[in-house]
Parts: sequence; structure tokens; C-alpha cells
Amino acid sequence: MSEKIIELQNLSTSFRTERGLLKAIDGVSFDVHKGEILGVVGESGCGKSVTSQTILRLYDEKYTAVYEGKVLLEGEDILQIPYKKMQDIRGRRISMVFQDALSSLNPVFTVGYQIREAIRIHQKVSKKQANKMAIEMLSLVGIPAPERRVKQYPHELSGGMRQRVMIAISLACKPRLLIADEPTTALDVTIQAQIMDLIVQLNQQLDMGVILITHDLGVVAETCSRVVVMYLGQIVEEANVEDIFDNPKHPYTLGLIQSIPRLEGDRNKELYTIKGTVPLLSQIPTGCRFAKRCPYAKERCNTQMPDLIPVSETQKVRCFRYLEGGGIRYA
Amino acid sequence: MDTKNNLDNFLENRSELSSIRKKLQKEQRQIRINAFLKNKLSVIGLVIVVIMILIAILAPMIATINPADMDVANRLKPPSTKHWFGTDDIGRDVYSRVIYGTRVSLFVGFSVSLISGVLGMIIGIYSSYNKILDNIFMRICDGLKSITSTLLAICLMAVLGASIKNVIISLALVNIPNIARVARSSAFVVREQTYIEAMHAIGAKPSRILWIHIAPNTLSPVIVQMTFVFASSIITEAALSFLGAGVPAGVPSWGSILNIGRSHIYNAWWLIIYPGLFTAISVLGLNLLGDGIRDLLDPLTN
Repeated sequence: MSEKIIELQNLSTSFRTERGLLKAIDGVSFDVHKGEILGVVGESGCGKSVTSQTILRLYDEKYTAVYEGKVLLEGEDILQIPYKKMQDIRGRRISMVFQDALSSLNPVFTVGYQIREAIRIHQKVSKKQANKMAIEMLSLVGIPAPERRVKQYPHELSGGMRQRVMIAISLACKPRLLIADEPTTALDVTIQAQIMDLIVQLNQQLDMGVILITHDLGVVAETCSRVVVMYLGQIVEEANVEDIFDNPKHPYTLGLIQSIPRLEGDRNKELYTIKGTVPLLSQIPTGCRFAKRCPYAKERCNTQMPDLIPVSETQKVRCFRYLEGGGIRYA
Repeated sequence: MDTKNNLDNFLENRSELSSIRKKLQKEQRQIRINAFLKNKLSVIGLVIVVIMILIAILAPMIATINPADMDVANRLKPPSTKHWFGTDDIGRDVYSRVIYGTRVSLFVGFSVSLISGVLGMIIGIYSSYNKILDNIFMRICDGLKSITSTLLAICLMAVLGASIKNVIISLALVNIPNIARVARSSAFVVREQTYIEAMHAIGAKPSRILWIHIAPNTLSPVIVQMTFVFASSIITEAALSFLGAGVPAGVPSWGSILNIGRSHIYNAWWLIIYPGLFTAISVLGLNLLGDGIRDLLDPLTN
């Protein structure tokens, strides 16, 4: 196995609200290796983005967020280091691409200025050199005529171009880990495919780890090697990408996969949906968090919380059905 | 052969493209200028302000007589070919005094809006970042705002003593809260934008984010507010001088001419009308210009 770039151990993030502390993510553990793309999937509000922002400690620690657990970046727990030191880690060792490509660039500066800035925050290079590097980065992310583009303002670029520029900015210092938080949501389908191809290609080229946060299982199947499925702030299943699609264990994962529209088969059949909605954070059920929506729920599920248990060497699942007997294939 | 032709075509198209781009940019600029010109009122405002600035700069050429020259034999004379706006109680030429007064008024207005603009922006933007200082600064601003601005300026002038410098200082102090509030509220809006979050995520220091990324994005409402501060400080300066709390006696200012005219209002109307007209027109011009700039910078109002 290649080296681990980042390892989350039992990570929890709570927010101080008027109703008291609310846990947005609860006991999340996973790791990302060098050269690997890890997919994190789940519905809206399941804690995907909170996880990514916690890794970078982007929340206000004085007033809003409380972290527990460990985030080990190449062995060092970055939740323990002084807050100021995070500035050296952000952008240099861990970078992030945001979902809203259209508003992720500052409208008052040129594209070139913003890439140069990202470079010069972390490296001592001259303006000229930084400009050269900025042009290199732009051609790396596949922007034609980069010498001209560096002088342009964000409003002169299309959405896909802007997301490429964002990727160029986040990769400017050759980070070890790239967190892509739904990088293609604001873009149309053909551009989505281009951006995903770009991320896969750069992942191999630069040999970094990538955490890809998405709710698009199609994207996951195309790009990721491993997948973490989250529900209400917990990991409910973790497996290789093949197992997620061919051999899903958790009823939630199964529900997600069944909800994908298919080209073959009866078109008049109504599309499968998971019943109910995600409960509010303040109304988390006591037992298994998915019990209320689960077609297989039993008495026990409503009172007891299952652990994340390994069912094979690479697959873990949080469900009682695998405690006894193991591997039941749902049909 | 074919590929070579394609390449040639491609290069030709590219140069064509860049010329189209240039045309589009020019058109874009033209559209913005047209949008401004279409708004007749803001054009009138601009013309008035430009004329006032020209008068202030060219005062020595436009004025006919030295504003300090006294001609006691011809005191309180009505407008004539020699004294276009008449003379005051010690025989000074009102026309020249009004012209030179433009200098004082515009200089005071400009300095006040610049000083309070810069300081107000620093305070407002820093307040959006630091919660404790925010409370302290904003409560001070509330306190300053709770006193009528003219009254506060008079108090400050009484403490500082009459001089143009002190007029500027006290008016700037009075106007800082206005600018600080505008800058603070728009900094709060900008702070929530994704590009600011993205700056955090690439490891930029808070000071860099605050001054290089948030500040320029708050500029447009601050600039609009500054034009209104410009206009209101011209009025307040005139009011201060009228009350004798403004520029020192002898310095020609619209307010101080009005002050002299006050005691002769029944038999020397020209001492009141001309400086009053100049004050009203220039304040009107500045306000119209401010409205025009606001419409131009804020596409939502169109």
C-alpha cells in the first residue's frame, strides 16, 4: 500500500447554535493514499462539506465550531497545531476547489493576479517568475492561450474556464491533497465531464490524493477508486468502487443506487426513491440514524446504534444485518 | 497541404477574433458611457461640479478685484458693471469673494470626504473582522451620530479654534461614522462570498484577505457615500462660517459672506442671494452626480 496522505480518526464537528451544540458530523474515519481519488457521497446535509471544511479548519473556532478527534496530515495532527500555522498548510499541503465556480474568483482582480497571489503567499518568488508559473498552471489545466488569459478578469471567462482557473489556483503550490467539493455542480454536462477528466489526469500527473465530494454516483463510478457513503454525519459504508455498485451492503447505499435513472428496462416504471427526508440535526433518532427510512428496519434498529463493522478486507458497513450471518445480498 | 491551409485559416480567424474582441470592448465602454449620459440629471450634476471645480482653480483669473481690497467709499453698493455682485459693508467686491469662496468650500468638501472616506473605510472594514473592536467602534459611531452633526461640528470648532484646517478636522470627525457604517455593512456582504472563503482555503492571512480582497469590493458604495459627504460638508462649512464658528474672519467663504449679509438683509439683498445661490447649486450638482454614480456602479437599481 502506498503512503497515507491524510487520515481522519473519529472526527466530529459540532456547531454552537441557539439550541445548543449540534453535531454535524459524528465519528468520521477514513484515509486517503497518495495518487488515490476517494469519493464521498451522500444527500444534501449529510456532512460532506462539513467534513471537508473541518479538514482545513475553515470554521470559526472561537464562536461556531467545536472539533473532536484527529486529522492526521502525513502523521501530524493538524487539529492540535496553532491556528496560525494552518495558513501554511492551506493551499500548500491541502487545497480546496469550491462548488460555485462562478463566484469563487474575486471580480476586481485579473485571473493572473489571483494565481500569482496563491503562489506568492507560500513561495518566495519574484513577480515575473510567479507570472511565468501562473501561465504554466493555466496551460496545465488546459486553458488555451494562457498568456492572454492571465490579463483577463473573471467575468470575461466562462463557467468551465473559471473552474479551471480555480483548479489552477488550488494546485499552484503542488499540494499533497486536493479536496474537490462538488466541483461541477454549477456547470453544464459537457463541461462537467471535462473538469472531471482534468481532475483525474492531474491526480495521476501530480501524484496527489484527491477527496472528491459529490452527490453524483455516475461521477464516482467514472473517477474514484474508493467510496465513502455518508448519512446524517456518519459513514454508513466504505468500500472499493466496484463493491459499492456491484455489492452494496447498506440499505442507504442500495437506495441511492436504485434511485439512478437507467437507460435500459421499463421506462414507464416510476423511479425508485428513498422514503422520507433527512431528519434535522436537532432531531437525530436514538438508534440507527437510517432506521426510519429503512425498508429492513427492525425493533433493535430503533433503539441501538450499529457500529461500522468490516464485512470484508476493503468493505465496512454500519448495519445490524451483517452482525449475524454476514453478507446477505439484497435484491 | 490541406493542414497548412487549415492552419492559415485558423491563424487568420484568430486575428479576426481579437479585432472583434476589441470592438466588443469598445462597444461595452460606449454602452456604459451612454447609460450615464442618458440620465440627464446626472449629466447636469457632472457639468455643475466640473464648472465649480474650474471656478475654484481659475479663481485668480475669473475674479475682477482682489477679494481683500476695501473701498470704503463704495460700501453696500448694489450690483453694477464694476462690482457685478455689488459690495459688502466695508466695500469689498462680492463677486470676487464668492469666486474665491468656491475655493474654500470645494477644498473643505474635498478634504473632508477624502479624509473621512479613508478613515471611515479603515474603521468599517476592520470592524467587520474583529467583533470586540466592532462593538467599540460602532457604539462610538452611534454616539457621534446621536448628536446633530452641525451642533457637534460647532462644539469641535469651539474647542479647536477657527481655521480652515480645524474646519476640515471637525467635519471629517463628524462624517466618519457615516462612511464607516456603509463600509462595514458592505464588508459583511462581501465576506460571505465564495471567493473570500477560497482565499482562506489557499492559506491567505486574514489581513491580506481584509485589505486586498474585501476592501476593493466595498469601494463602490463608499464612493457614492463620499459624494454625499462632499455635498453635506459644503453646507455644514457654510453654516459654521455663517455662525462665525467656521473659517477665520477675512477668509472669503460663502458662509462668511452670508454672515455679513445677515445684518443688512433688508437693504443689501445681493449679499445673501449670490453666495446662497452658489451653495445651493453646487450642493445640488454634487447630489445629482452622486445619484448618477450610484446608478452606474450598482446595476441592481437599473
